[in-house]
This record gives sequence, C-alpha cells and structure tokens, in this order.
Amino acid sequence: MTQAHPGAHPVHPNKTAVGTIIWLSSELMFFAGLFAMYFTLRATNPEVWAEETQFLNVPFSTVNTLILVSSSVTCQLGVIAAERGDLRGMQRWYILTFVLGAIFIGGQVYEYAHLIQAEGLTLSSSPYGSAFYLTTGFHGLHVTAGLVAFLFVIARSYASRRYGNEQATAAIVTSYYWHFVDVVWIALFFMIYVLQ
Amino acid sequence: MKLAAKLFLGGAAFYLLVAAVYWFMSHDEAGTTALVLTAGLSGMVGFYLLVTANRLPDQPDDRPNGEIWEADPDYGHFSPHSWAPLMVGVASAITFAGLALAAWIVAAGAVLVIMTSAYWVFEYYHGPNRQF
Repeated sequence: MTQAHPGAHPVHPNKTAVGTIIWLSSELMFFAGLFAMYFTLRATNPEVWAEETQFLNVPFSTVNTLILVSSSVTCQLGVIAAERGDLRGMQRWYILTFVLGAIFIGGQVYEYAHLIQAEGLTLSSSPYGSAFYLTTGFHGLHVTAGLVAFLFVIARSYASRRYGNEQATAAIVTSYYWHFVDVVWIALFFMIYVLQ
Repeated sequence: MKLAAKLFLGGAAFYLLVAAVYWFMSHDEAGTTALVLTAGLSGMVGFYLLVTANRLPDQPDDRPNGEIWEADPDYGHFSPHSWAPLMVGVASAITFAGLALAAWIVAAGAVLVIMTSAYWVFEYYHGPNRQF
C-alpha cells in the first residue's frame, strides 16, 4: 500500500496534490480581493478609467498572454512525460516552460517601463495606476515564484539518484500551480485589457 | 471521497445562486466578484476530488464496510527535524520588514528567501541525511 503520485497506478489520493489544490483555492480568494478592488475603483472613478486605459498596448499584451498560455501546454507535456517516468522528457519540457514564463515576465517588465516612462502611470499616480499595478504585479510575483519552483523541480530531478514519487509529485503539483496562475492571468487579461 | 466531492460541488452551486441573487438585488460588482470566486473556491476543490475519485478505486469512505485504518496509507517521507522552516521564516520577515524600511532590504531579503528555500528543498538530497 504505497502512496502513489497521480500518474502511477495509485490506490489512495496523493495527499500533497490534494493539499496543493486546497491551498490554490485559498489563492483564488486572494485574487478575488484584487478583482473586487479593481471593480470598486473602476465603478467610483469612471472618468479616470476612460482616460488612462488608453495607455494600454493591447496587441503587445495579447502576444504576451499567448506566450504564457503556450507555457501551460509545454508544462502539461512535461507532466505527461513525468507520469510515464520519462525523466529527460520532463526536464526538457520544464526548461522550455521556464523560458516561456521568463519571456512573459520580461514582457511585463517592458510594459511597466513603457507605462512609467512614456505615460507617467505609476502605483501612486492615480486609482487606475494602483489597480493596474497591484493586480498585474501580484500576478507577476506569482509567475516569478513559479519560475523559482520550476528551477527547484528541474534541479532536484538532476540531484536525485532515482526518479521516484517525490520528484513526480513535485513536478505535478508545480504544474497545478502553473495552470492556476495561467487561468488567473486569462481572467485578469479579460478584465484589464478587454473589459477595461 | 465521492461524498466530499459532492459536498464541495454543492457548495459551489449554492454560492453561485447567492451571487446571482446578490447581483440582482444590489448591482454591486465587487461583492458579486467575490461571491462568484467563492463558488470557484468550492468548485475547484470539488472538481479535483471528483476527477481524482473517478481515477481511483473506491476509497474506504465510499464503502459501507470501510475501516478507518484502510484510509491510513504510507504518507511518504517526512522530515524528523529541520531548521529550514525557521530560516525561510526569518528571511521572509526581513523581506516584509523591508517593505516598510527600504527597497534594498526587500531585494536582499528576496535573495535570502530563495537561498533558504533552496536549502529546504535540497535538505534530503545531499549530505549525511541524504534520502533521495
């Protein structure tokens, strides 16, 4: 009766995976606060929104969003490899996922630099600036933490003498986190860039 | 496990209903957002439990003749003693204190958080206590 990861032929649910999902559901409520903040400020400052949402470069962010979504695909391919016990495949897909995530963060930094220098939009310049930087910034911090987690998972898979449940579980729960952060970004993208 | 999934999914349906009633009575975007995402909180746990229950054989709590000991599997490796959580905690405290004090403390704290986390992640992957 060994505890198996979701990919093997388990008898019991993986406690780490269940715990990760429950933690992520609390993360959802953290972002709920940010979404509610955005809508409250938007409802009370319609004139600020009408003017300052024009600073956004929607095509640029759309491309950046597609890069993040594609990183979720490569991450899932890594999970499929990990579930097969294909260590090299998992490492290759996770490194690619890391690179795509890093490009997304680079794009976000570029976007911030443009908004601050060219448009003068900062965290304290207006209610819109506060809402924009807090929502996208906290999401960016989550992506950055995910990048560090990917480095740990990849490095640990090289450090371990055998590829066992511990490594596969770490890879799988990191993918849960990554997909979650990706879905949150799609909601944020819809709110900030589409709905404005 | 199937009952747990149903409870969480039922919670999600309830919160969605409350969110709809709340929206039509108040037209408040902030509260409706929070209620819809509360449905998400309950729904994602319920969905995960349902998918997992369908992938696994019947769990002890799904069977009338299930015994408590059957739901007590091998939990895997647990650290008997470790300084790593305290180190990560101190590094996190320095980072957040930096938010009130100075930006360079945040940067230094973030480096410390990553270093101490690395120690935690690799604690049983090297040295005399190596397990994996």
